[in-house]
Amino acid sequence: MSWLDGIRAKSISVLQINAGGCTGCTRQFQAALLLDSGKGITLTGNPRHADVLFVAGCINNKSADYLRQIYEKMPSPKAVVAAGTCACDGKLFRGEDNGISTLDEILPVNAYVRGCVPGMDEMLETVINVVEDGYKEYKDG
Amino acid sequence: MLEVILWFIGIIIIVPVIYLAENIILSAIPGQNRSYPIQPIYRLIKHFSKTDLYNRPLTRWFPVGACVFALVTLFFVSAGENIMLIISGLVMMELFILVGACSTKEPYGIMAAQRGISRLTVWSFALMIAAASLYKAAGTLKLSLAIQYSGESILLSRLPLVTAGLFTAAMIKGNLGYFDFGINANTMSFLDTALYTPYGGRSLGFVQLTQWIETGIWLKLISFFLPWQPLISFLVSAVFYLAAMLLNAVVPKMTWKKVMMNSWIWAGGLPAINYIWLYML
Repeated sequence: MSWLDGIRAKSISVLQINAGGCTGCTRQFQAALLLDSGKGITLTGNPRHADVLFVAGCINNKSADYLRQIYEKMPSPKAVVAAGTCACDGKLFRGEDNGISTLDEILPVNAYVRGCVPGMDEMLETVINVVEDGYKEYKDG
Repeated sequence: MLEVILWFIGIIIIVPVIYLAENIILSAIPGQNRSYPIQPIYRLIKHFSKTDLYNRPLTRWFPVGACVFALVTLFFVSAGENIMLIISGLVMMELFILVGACSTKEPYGIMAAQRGISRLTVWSFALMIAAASLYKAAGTLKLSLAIQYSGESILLSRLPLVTAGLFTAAMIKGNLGYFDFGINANTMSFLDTALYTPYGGRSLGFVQLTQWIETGIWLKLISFFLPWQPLISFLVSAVFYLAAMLLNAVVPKMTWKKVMMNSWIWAGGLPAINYIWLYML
């Protein structure tokens, strides 16, 4: 971890996007921020200010376009975190013929947090680790 | 000259110190977002380490221009120069930020610029009335001479509403003038930092730096109207500003239209009443 990444990790602006779903993951993340372990993480509603795009919920054709637009507006370096089963692999809704995509089909994903809903600490640690590791893209293996 | 340089450095330092105090106090309050004491510094470094993403190359230079004007104005206020010079510097700085916001050609940028212009009309009006009142009361527009006058005859006793109006204007500039003590108050979410929405990355870093310097300028400007020694007056205005920031963190906020209406009443109306009162004396 470089000193710059260490500083970046102490002031992370997260843009939460619920691409369509039960909103459980995003609410869980907001609740997690009230804990001490979420130090330095703030929520923003503006892609220009965001460092991490936190995506939860099932991604359909309509929300996929919005996600691409939002990602393009974020200044580099930036990271994308797929949170919850819906964003990671579509799971329950994947088999239906309804245009559901996983997040890695739309955007380059830096980290996955699996689970329905994922744990609070896992989500916070993932966001911090992604920034500390220098915004590296996730690679299998 | 040494005194001017010391004031220049002191005014730049005081704003991060205020942020630091705010973070330490807020971290101790249950239910508030946890942050590191020097997180504003971390945030500034982070912004400067990011790229700009503008399709128009000139956009990134407007915040730089604003920052330069802020530094020049800071020198004027440290030296206790003519208040009209300081007003001109502040207006130029604001115009650079607004033109930069307009030039992004984004709906948010246009909206931010419109709100910035609405705000500019309020605080520039307050400053102009303050300058006119200062001339009426002290017979000079030069702040270093006004201090000497204040030593002989307390300026605050003749310009109480002007001082209150200027402090309200400073709060509006710092996005703090939006308190709503009503129980049905609603928050404004991210729109309360309207002026920063079109900026991102390095440009946002320059805008934030400009705002820090500008906050220091306002605090020093207000301190000229207070009756104590210059350093004590400056610290008193800084403590009041810190109190406003803490209040801002725990009190609900108004909607934009209500904000502007109240801004005209408090930041525009109070100095105007004071000026009329000076004429009637």
